[in-house]
Amino acid sequence: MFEIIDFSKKYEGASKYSAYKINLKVNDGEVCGLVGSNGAGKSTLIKSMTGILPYSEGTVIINGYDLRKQPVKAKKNIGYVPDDHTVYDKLTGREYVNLMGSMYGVKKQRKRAILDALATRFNLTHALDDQISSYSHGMKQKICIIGAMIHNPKVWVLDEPMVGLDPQTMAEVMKLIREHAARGNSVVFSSHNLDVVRRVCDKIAFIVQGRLVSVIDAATARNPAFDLDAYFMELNGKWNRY
Amino acid sequence: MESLLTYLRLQMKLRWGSEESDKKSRRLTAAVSVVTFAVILLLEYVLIGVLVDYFSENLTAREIATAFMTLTEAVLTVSAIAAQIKWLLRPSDVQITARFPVSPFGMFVANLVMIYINLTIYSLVLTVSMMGVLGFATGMANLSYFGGVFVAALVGPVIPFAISVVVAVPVMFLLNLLENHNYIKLFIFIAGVVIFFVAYDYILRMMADYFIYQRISNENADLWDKLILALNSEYNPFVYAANFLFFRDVERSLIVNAAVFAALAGAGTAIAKPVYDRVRNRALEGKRGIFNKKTALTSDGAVAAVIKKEFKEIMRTRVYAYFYLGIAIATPVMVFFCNRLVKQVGEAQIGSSVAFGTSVLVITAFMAMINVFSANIISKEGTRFYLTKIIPVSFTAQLAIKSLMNLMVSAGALAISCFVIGVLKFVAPEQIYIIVAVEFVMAAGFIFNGFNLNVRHPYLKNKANGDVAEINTSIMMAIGLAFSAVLGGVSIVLAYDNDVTLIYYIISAVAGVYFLANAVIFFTSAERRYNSIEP
Repeated sequence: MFEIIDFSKKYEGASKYSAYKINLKVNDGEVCGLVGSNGAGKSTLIKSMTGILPYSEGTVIINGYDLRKQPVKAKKNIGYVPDDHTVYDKLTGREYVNLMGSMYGVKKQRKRAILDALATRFNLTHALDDQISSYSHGMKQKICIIGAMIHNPKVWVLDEPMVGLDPQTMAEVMKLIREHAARGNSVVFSSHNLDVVRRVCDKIAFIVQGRLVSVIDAATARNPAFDLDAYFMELNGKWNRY
Repeated sequence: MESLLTYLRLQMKLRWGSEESDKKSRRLTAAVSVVTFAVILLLEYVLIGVLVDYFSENLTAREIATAFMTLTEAVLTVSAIAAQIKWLLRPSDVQITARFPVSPFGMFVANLVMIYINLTIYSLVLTVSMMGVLGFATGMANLSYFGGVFVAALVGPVIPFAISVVVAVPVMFLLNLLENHNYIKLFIFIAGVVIFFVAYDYILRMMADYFIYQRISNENADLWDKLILALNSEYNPFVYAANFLFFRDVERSLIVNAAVFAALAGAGTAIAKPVYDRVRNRALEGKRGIFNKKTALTSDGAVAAVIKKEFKEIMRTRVYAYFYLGIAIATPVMVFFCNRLVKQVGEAQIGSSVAFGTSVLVITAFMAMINVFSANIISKEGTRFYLTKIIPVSFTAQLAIKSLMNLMVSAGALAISCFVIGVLKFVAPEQIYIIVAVEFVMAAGFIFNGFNLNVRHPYLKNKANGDVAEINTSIMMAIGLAFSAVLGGVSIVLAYDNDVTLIYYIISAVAGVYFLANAVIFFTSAERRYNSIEP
């Protein structure tokens, strides 16, 4: 479970808040999609709730731990996939996953089991001993996902995970997200792809200009009578005026 | 043709175009350049003066000038080969330039023209400054001589360029063979550093002798004379550029330059063109599978994992590996040479009591040099900095692990350096222990100081390729050299007529306070500052 309470974030030297008074709770077993246009504040929110960006207002609770007060314990429960897939590209894929596993105290048998399963699933086994610098965009994304999943995190956070992936891998990632949630974990991911969000998420949070303006559930989103695209446009049009 | 010229102009702008900067920084840059150039000229004047004085006993001014011109030509040849590899055979901008409406042959020719122009600029700067200084040192300086220097500088790049066209391709293949053989490359780098220091030591000792005793006691004097005479032989192709210095044998020199240029550059171009096409195509298609290494999964803890990762990155990152591990491994050799030299000068001027101080001076400087990279420890992460923020290891612990790694390298270099100076009896045995203790504390102080600097001013926009391109490392170097001067200076000056234990107390106190101050700043503020960094 993770929860954000009255969260606000202003970058150093900025006059405006990039995220303002956000409250959001994602329960165990739930998948939450963060939707918003470019620069809406999705990445700021995600980077703050994973400990990358400092914040001074509000509280982030990860599986019962306050991220500011107990950062190490909170981070043990997070798996994060960045939007730009930057990793230690001088390492090979296997070395990177090994390193990430060691950081979270995962033993080698467990590392092997997870790595083998996910590499096979993502069709990456052949490249595990190649230096990451030689990987394509999609391969880097896959190794980032494996690295984030190596410790079976209670809260899995993905920033634009579908960008640059082939349709088959995209389908695998969506399946993986659902499976992870089904095992009692929480998943949060940001996306511009409304169709993916509609298919995967239990709840969808709309962010416009740093504000959480609406949260809808899966049933509403999947209702044939409900036009998600039109709803998104409407929210953007309405809140961008403020 | 028009697009080719446009491409050439674009390349010139890219490589030599000035960046937008304000008037103040332009003035500052210009002032620094002028001062640097003046210092180099002064050093050249002193060094060349000594060498001319030394060689003029058995050789004529013309013979000495020809040898110096050969040296200039050799430097130009190395620069030309490096430029060929960098611009032509390992181009970094192919993805962009491939979109231009210029044929691959046009780009090839444009790049060659660029390299030649670049070489001519180098030649003018190098030849005019070096041969000009030589003219004054030998008493040859007059209008005709400077006219000759100017013509020689213009002709100078012809043969180096021709040689480089032929040699660059095999050199590039050799470099490609060594790609990813990091241990071999590190070994070659260390050997290079050591050879450089041997040569450096040789010249400096020669100069020290000259300044102390007003004579040069070089045991290889005959060999030098023979070498210079050999360089004056007509089989040395660079003689035909040197001839223009004195307008000697002009027609023959012109013909030889033209013939060598036509033969080598023609043949070289014929070899280089297909290679350039292949390299260009490969760069356009992208590299695949350049490095493959089977590694086993482990059950390491966070400390071991971070240390292993750091070492792997160091070994696999060209600049960082060479300047960090390379310098650390070569330190004992360099300490030996520097110690011997400084001791030679110091003992002649002051007495044997100077040995301890000179050892402190030299070793502190090298400890600073090794640990200068601690000021880059956060910036080095570049765009991957976020990884250090998401892992469940406190920032202080992460930095402490990295400091442990730096300290391990420093301790190794220090132990071997002290063993060397101990075995060779540069200092008394009990002084070795003092040096080890003080320098170990200084190394720890440098590491914490570097971290404190970097955590305040991180630069994370680089692509995390390990390049060291920021002011923090320069500041750390300056701090390190200042401490080297202070600790060494105090030890040397007080050695005159004071109790040596006073020196031990003073340098121990300085090292202790420096370390403690930085350690306190680190442990009280690093976590907070690290957390506030916004990548």
